[in-house]
Amino acid sequence: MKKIVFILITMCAVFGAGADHGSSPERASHGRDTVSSHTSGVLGGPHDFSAWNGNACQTCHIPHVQAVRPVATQPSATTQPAVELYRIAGQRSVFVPGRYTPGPTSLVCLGCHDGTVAMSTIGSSHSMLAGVREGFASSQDASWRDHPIGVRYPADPREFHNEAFVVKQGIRLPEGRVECISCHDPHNVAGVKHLLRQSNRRSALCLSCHIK
Amino acid sequence: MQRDIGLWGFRLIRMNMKRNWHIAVGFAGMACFVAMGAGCAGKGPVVPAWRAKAVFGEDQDSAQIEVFGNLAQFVPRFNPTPKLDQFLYGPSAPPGLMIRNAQGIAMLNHLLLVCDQGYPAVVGIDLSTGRSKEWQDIDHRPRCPIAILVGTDGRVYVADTTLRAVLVYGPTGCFVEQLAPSENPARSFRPGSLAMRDGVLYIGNLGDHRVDRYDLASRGWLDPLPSSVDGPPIVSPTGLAFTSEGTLLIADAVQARIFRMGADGRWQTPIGGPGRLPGQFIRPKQVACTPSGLICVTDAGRQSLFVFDAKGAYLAEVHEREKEWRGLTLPSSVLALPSDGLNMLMPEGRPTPQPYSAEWIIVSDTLDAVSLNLFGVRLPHGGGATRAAP
Repeated sequence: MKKIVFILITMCAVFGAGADHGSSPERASHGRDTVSSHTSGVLGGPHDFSAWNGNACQTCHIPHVQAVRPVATQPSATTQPAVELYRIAGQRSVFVPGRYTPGPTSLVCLGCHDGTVAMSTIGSSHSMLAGVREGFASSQDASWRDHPIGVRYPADPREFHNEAFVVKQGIRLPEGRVECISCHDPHNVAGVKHLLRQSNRRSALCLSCHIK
Repeated sequence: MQRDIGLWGFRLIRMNMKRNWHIAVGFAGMACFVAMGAGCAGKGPVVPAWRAKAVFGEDQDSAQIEVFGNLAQFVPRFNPTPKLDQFLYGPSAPPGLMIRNAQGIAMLNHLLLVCDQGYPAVVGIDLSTGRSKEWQDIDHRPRCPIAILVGTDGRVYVADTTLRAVLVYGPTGCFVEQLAPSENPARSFRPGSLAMRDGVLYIGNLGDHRVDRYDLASRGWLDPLPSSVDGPPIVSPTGLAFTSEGTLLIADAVQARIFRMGADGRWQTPIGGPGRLPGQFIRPKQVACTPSGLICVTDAGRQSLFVFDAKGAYLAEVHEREKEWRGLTLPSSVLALPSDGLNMLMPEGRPTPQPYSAEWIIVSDTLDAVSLNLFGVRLPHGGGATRAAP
């Protein structure tokens, strides 16, 4: 009797694991988020505007042209990514030590993600403390969902992993700062929901930096 | 017993007043000060003299843009702390404008209405007194106010992308109604920009990639604007404005150009395109038209304010200039005012900018500490540069 029960349980486990969920007719009716999480790259993702302007890259990457007006701060290999984004003169001037000021890469994101073209990251569920001025505190009920950007990666070894270790995990820290691209990949290479660099299942992404 | 205490107290005071008259004078002075200062709110120091930080424009024969910088420095500093409290607890600096993340802006008489996404609320700044407070009905707060429009009917329309509706308020901020297409089961309607002409409210629908229209008289939704057959389609209409001739300007943040539809309903050649050359855009957000016909466009990607003439020819790009002006961080909305539009900031006796600006432009910055930037327009040959009586 015990043998029969054991065999039945084993068979159930085997057949259950082998079920092909991909061929389920319900998958066709899944939301866009589920479908996009199984694709990677820009094409087919939320940043794919090729259906509108015929070019999947042009919306964010302006073609290389020589800047006409003088650049206040000459870009260098450490300040500009290899594939040039908007090379805007004087962007480094917005960096104010000790204040929440987003960097150039985050400004690119915020150009759309300010509630206009795309979901807002200011004052919404993914509140951005970069918009907080001195003396203005974010509402307490939203504080657990906030994450600051434009701040230097903390050097407290008791609370945060070493910066070199974090970068090795695939977390980008442009100029040693936490920016939007630290957690999000606009190119959706990993194909994770919400364009995360890696899955945040069981807070794996958070724990890449935070020591808990 | 009580009578005796009272008599002794009176004798004590009279005796002290005879011997220490200066103490009595001091007490009398304090009493007057208390009576005078209780409940009084004082104003801050006089605003600084108007002085342009930088001037943009190619030559004297075309319009030039003067950068005056932070609008807050020209607005009276309202200090809500009573003088008595300042006397008792020490002086307190008047707070700045109550703005966190400014988006859409509009002018309602002497009130500058600012969509503050960080609050979120519609903040009303009284430019004559400097007092700023939450303007709209607190029971009907917007969730993500992006654009605001003062209609010809006197009502104030606020586009909210999170509520997916246009909130309508009265002139005093009381909530009137919420506009959204009823036949929209997918809830794709996302209003991001507003304009009004001939009793029709034009709404830039970011969710459905089109411009919707609402007839205020019949209170019904009209057919959306037809798409251009030849040109690229509208993707993200983040800015709407009408010229004096009735041409509709549509700033498209994704297509990086300003679409134009004439009063006859025919599409015209768009202004600009994606790129970094003069007159090209990266992320145009909002468009406005000055009384003289200048077309102003804010570009969040280039952190600039573009100015074009009435025909769409590029005139100037207002951006940071080293050692003169730190520029914009994330410019969002733009508001154009006539020459007398800011008279409440410069009553008789206050210094005025020389030469007098023919028109005014206010640009909101969502992320910078300077939320509102003021620019003056200097027209060629002093055109339109007359000062209206305050």
